[in-house]
Amino acid sequence: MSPMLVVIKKEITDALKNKLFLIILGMLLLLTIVSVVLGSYQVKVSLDSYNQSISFLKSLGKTTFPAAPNLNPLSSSKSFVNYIGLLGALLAMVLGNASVVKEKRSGTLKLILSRQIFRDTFLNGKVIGNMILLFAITFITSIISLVSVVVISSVPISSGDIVRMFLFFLMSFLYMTFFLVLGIFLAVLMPNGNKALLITVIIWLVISFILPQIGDTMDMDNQLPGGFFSSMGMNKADTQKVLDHFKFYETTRDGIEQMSPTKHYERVGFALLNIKPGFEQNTALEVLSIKWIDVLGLLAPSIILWLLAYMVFLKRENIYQE
Amino acid sequence: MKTKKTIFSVLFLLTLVFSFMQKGIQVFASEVPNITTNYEIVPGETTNARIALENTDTVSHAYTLNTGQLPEGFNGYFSLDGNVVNNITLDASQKNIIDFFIDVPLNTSVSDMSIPLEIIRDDGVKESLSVSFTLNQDYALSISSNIQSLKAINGDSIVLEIGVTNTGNKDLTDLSLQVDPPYKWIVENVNPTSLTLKPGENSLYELKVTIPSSGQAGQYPINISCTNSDVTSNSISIPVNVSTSANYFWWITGIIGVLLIFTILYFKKHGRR
Repeated sequence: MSPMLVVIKKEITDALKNKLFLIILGMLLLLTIVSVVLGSYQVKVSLDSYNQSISFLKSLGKTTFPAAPNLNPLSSSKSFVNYIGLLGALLAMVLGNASVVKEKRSGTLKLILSRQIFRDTFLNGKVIGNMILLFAITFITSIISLVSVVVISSVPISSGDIVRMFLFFLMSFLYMTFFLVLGIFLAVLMPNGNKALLITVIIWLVISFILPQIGDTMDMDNQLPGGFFSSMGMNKADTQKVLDHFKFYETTRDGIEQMSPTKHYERVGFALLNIKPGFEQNTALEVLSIKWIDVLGLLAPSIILWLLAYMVFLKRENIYQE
Repeated sequence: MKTKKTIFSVLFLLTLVFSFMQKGIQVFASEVPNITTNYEIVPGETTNARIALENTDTVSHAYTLNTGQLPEGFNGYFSLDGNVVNNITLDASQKNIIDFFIDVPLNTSVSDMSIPLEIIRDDGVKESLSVSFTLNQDYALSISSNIQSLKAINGDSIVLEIGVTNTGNKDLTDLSLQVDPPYKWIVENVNPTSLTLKPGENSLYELKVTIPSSGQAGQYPINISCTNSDVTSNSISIPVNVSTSANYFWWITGIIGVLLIFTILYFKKHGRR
C-alpha cells in the first residue's frame, strides 16, 4: 500500500474515533433529517390543499381550474444551506485542525516524517482522507433528502430535479472542503494547535457572518425596515436616480460580499434549488454555467490555501513542536 | 249544487297552485338606475355589466350563474360584493345586484357581441338573459419588440427598440414609455421621451438600460408598456440573461496559476522533504 493510502486510511479511522467530530456529525445529520422531513411535509400539505380545491371545483361542475401552486420539491432542502453554513463548516474546521494537531500532540508526526514519506504526500493524504469523509457525509445527506422528498411530499420529482439536488450537495461538499483546507493550513502554519483552531473559527465568523452582513448593511435599501426607498416615499424613477449616483459604493459593497465563500455557496445553492426565482427553465448544468463565478468562489480559495499549505509545511523546521 | 261547489273549490286550489308555480326568478339587467343592457368595451380593459337578480318565490333558493360561450381571448366572471361567485343564495323576495365582469383582450377583432347568461335555480328553473357589448375602438395602442431575449454581462448597458402602434381610431398624444426594470438597474434614457401617433401610425422607442456591475448572474425581466391619459398598451416582458464578466475568471485563474508556478519553483529550490 502506498504511503499516501496509509495516511488516508488512518485519517478516516481516526476521525471516526474523534468524539467532537462524531457529536457535530450527529447534530448535522439530525438537523438535516428534521429540516428535510418538515420541508417535504410542507410541500405535501400544499399539494393536498391544491388537490382539495380542484376536487371541490370539479364537484361544482367547473372545467377550468386555477394553476397549480409552485410545488418545488427541492425547496425542502432550503434549511440545509444554513446548517451546512454553521455545522458543516464547524465539522470541516475540526477535522482539518485535528488531522495535524493530533499528530503533533501524540508525537507521531515526528515518527511519520522520519520514515520514507514526503511531506507533500503526507499533506495530500491528510486532505484527501478528510475530503473522502466530507464527501461521504454529503452523499448520505443527499440520499436522505431525496428519499424524504419522494416518500413524504408525494410530488413527482424529475431527473432534472435529482441532478440539481446532487449538484447542490456537491457545492455543499466544496464549501466544507474550503474550511477543511483552511483548518489544515492554519494548523500547519501556527505552532499552537488551540490558537490555530481559534483563528480558524474567527476567520469562519468573519467570512460567514460579518462580510455578508456588511454587504447587507451597506445596501442602501436595507437601512430602514420595509426598505429605505419605499419609507422615503420614493418611486422607482427616483430610486434609480439615487442608485445612479452610488455606482462606486455599490461595486465596493458587492466586492465585500464576493470575498465570502458562504455568500457564493448561498447564491449557487439557492439557484440550484430553485429558491431564487429565474432559474426554473434552466437545466442544472446551465445553472452552474450561469453561476460559474460562485463555483469559482468556492473552489479558488481552497486551491490557493492548499498550495500555501504545501509551501509552509515544506519549510517549517519546528513542525513537531506544539 | 254540492258538486258545483266541489268543482269550484278544486279549480280555485288548482289556480292557487299554478299561480305559486309561476313564481320563480326574475332577472333584470336594467332594474336600477344607470344599468343598461348594452355596454361599451375597450380593448385591454375590463367592463362590468350589472344584473339584478330577484327571488320572487316564497322560500329561499340557491342560484347557479353560468355564462354562454365567450369569444376567444375573452374572460367572464360574476362578482358579488367584490368576491368572485358562481352560486348565490337569496331569501324569499330578496333581490341582489351581481356584477358580470368581462376582460377584453387587447387585439380583439370582435366589434359587437351578445353574451347569453343563464341563472339556474336549485329546483331546476332556468332564466336566461342576454347582455350585449359594443367595442369602443377610439383609443387603442399596442407595443411589440422583435427581441425574444437578451444576453448581457453585468456592468454593461443594453439598448432595446420597442415598436408602438396606434390601433385605435383617434390620435394619441403625449405617449410615454413605462419601463419597469429589475431592482438597481438604471434606465439611462428613453428616446423619444414623448410621442404622438395618428390612427394606424407606428413608431419606435429606443431604450438604454444599464445593468449594475454588482448584479448577479441570472435571468431578469424588463417589463415595458406605453401609456397616455386615454389608453394603456399591452405590457411586454423581455428576459435578459445576465452573466458575469469573464475578466473575473481570468483574474482568479491567473492568481492560481502564478501561485502554482511559485509552488513548483519553491519545491525545486528547496527539494522535497
